[in-house]
Amino acid sequence: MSGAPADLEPRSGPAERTRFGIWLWLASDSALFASLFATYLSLRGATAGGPSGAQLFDLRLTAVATFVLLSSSLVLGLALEALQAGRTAALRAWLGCTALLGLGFVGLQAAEFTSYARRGLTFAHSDFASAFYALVGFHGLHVTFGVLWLGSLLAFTLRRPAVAPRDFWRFEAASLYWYFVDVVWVVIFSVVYLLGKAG
Amino acid sequence: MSALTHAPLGLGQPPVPASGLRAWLTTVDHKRIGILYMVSALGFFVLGGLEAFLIRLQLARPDSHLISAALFNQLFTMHGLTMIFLAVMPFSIGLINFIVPLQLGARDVAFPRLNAVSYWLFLSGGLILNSSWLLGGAPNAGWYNYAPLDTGGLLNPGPDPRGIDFYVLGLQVAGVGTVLSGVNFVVTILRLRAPGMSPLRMPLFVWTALITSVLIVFAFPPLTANLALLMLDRLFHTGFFDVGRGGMVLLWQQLFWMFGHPEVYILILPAFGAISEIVPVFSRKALFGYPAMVFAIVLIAFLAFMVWSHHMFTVGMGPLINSVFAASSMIIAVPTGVKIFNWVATLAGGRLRLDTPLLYAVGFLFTFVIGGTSGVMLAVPPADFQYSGSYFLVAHIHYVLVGGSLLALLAAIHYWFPKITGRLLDDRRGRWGFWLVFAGLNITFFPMHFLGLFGMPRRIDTYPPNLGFDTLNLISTIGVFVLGAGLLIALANMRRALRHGALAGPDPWDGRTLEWAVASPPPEYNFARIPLVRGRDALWVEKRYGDGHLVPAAGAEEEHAPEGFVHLPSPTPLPLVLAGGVTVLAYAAIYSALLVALAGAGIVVASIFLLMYDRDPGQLVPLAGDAP
Amino acid sequence: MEDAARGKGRPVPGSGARTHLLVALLLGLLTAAAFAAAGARRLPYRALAPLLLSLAGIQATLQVLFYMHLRRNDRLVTLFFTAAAVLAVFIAWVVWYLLLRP
Repeated sequence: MSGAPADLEPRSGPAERTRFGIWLWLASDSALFASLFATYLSLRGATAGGPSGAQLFDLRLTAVATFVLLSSSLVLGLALEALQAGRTAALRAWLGCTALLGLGFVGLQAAEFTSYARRGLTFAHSDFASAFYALVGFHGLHVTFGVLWLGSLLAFTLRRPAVAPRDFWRFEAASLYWYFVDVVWVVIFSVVYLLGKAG
Repeated sequence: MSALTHAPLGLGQPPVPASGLRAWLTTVDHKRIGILYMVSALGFFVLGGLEAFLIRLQLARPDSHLISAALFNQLFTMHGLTMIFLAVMPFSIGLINFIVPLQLGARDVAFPRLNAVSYWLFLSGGLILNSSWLLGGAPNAGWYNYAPLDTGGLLNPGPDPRGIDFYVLGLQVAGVGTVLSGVNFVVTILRLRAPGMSPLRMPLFVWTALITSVLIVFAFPPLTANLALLMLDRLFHTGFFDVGRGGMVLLWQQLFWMFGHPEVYILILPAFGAISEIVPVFSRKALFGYPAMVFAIVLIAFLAFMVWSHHMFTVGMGPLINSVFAASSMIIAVPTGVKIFNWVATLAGGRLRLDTPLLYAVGFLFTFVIGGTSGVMLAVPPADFQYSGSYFLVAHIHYVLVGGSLLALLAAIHYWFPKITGRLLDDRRGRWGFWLVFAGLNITFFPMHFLGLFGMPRRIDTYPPNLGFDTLNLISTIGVFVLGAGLLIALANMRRALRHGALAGPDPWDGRTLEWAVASPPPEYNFARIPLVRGRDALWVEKRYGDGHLVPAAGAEEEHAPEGFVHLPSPTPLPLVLAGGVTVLAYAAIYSALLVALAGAGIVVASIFLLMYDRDPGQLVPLAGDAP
Repeated sequence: MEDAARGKGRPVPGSGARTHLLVALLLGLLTAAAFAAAGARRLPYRALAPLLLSLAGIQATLQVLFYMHLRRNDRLVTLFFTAAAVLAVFIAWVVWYLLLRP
């Protein structure tokens, strides 16, 4: 019980707390994806006589989708730079690009799933199918929600001439989420598509 | 809570009412949310208790036909689900909600509106789950709902086997709320401590709240995934758990216990924290070995993720895997033992005040050790093959849950009731309640150890006579009446105190931590000025080395407000609306109604974005009278 | 002064579009390498799997570090996220192992 105070805890601001909260929530989301990965890895052999990953996956399509998503992260980073530099027009443009690229990714995924379904890989056809669609589809849902989020941010910027510093946290939160979704995609295309095709 | 209306923030906003139904439905105040959690949890506890009562009535005599087998299955399933997910855990969360910001010297949690969302999601999940009673039958495959029993079909026929769907969606909805609470509390504890409160100066209850929240953040996702897979199996006829389709029955168990084992530590750690608060205050002695206690909690949490397959010794994983998990399960007993020794060491040499909270705490020490010992017995795989799935296991879980969590939470109620309500409980009635509860729980659950060793399996709805089960079952049922009487007395004590109890001052127990420095109940803003913390047991430091009053910390306010006012967030109905949307979505999933699901999803997404972009001007709350 | 800026959570002056493009380029190269490795017929599965997993790990780390370069983050946050990543891999691997044992 000393008289002098120990290291005075610096008061962090609400923006930092929000970022911290989102990191934590992303941590829990990682554990969720891990569970779905475990499920996929355990069940991917159960093709019920139907098509397997190696037969279905077209790595060119996957590569395109991957580069679309990676580009969207790049472009989002440029948007954040524009935000901090106060260049609102650039911010809106880059934000719009990110959302469009994200939408493009979702479109490519939808096209991919439809083509698999036409070749016999429906959701309930086999456990490989179910696990694949559950894992990759869940990721796709994440991207979709991200696109909506980015859209709402775009609307937010369009309604005002400039974004005040006290609103920066909104963009940082969304970018944190978007990078996370991209990280998960990196693991998905490596483990599901690349290892699935080659292994 | 003050009945004054608050001054508007000068933007043409009407004053915010401080009482009435609307205030409770739109509150974002951690104290009110805490009370909502605790009252709801008590309600569900009574429901779960009734379910247990019916189970014990059925099992009192052999060959009893009081309750049909089908109903019995629903009763024990719902009893487990209700007690774990809707009573003990939410009550702990409610207590953490109310007490932790006060103990940190903060005004509220980090995300007050998210806090409200968590509560309404919990309530929605609990109501969804229990609505199954009225909508075709409750889930009936046990609280952990093993596949393939839970996927329906041949193994789980029935006129309307939708009960499992209620299980899936009810737990899923409540679970989301819980994870959000976990995130909220971690950020609160790591970012909103008063100046001077370094981590090793935090009260033990705050440490357990922190670690519990970390466990929640990492442990609930596997459950979320598991429930989602089951939902896909039932809604879209996938076959994740269907062996005939290449699925795996054990997938359910692995994912479930990956969640389920940390869950039991989530259930007990806040209880440990409460005991660590009560024992020092009523021994008039500082907690023995504070750093060891903290280290023990952290170690328990880490090990909690290493032991899950001890619930699966008998599924055939083989002796090597079994041994690994047996070893880790035994290791986890060590930090728990350290805590027991430290509590005893705190009591030893103290000037004990044998008031009701301490009685419950000491009772906890006895019964929790018994529960822990039976746990170590269960951790030995060869022995476990004999009594896993028997009443020995039932005895173990009830000793740690009732003798552990429940006793500790009752201790916590008796300790913090004056702070929460401003009234004192009657100590004589409290003791009567304690002795009846303590005796009752031992009479009910101790015989179960022997029932298990004599071969009585769990979850059977009846048993033939003359197998050696008859007398012990009868004794156990009699115990339930004693336990019930004790609990009723405790509840009646609370009701009486709320109406006629003596007014409690800020500090009826001569406490050591910050919550005892403010009025009972605390004002809406908690502290008139954020305090400066000058040591562990922050209030005790001021009593011993200062003048007994908190020293305000300079420059600690984040929100600027005029002199005599505090700036707090405004109430909002959006959390309730969000939970409503989730509920619509849940029922749509249960009944496979796509359009309704889309409507629900729309409400949810809209509410999320509204909450995100709602620029809350807040409200100015006048400071009452004298500080703090 | 840069350290002060770091401490306050403001972006480090000197970072800019150039850094973004460099990181993006690096990520793109790693991704291309991963696809090339998967497409190559001559690599046995036993060599391929760890290679791809390492590439994935590097890419993921890059993404995370790249974000953090924009804002100085607390050590505790890094700790949590790293713990999450470790736990996630642990969960996935152990469950997969336990389920697929003969």
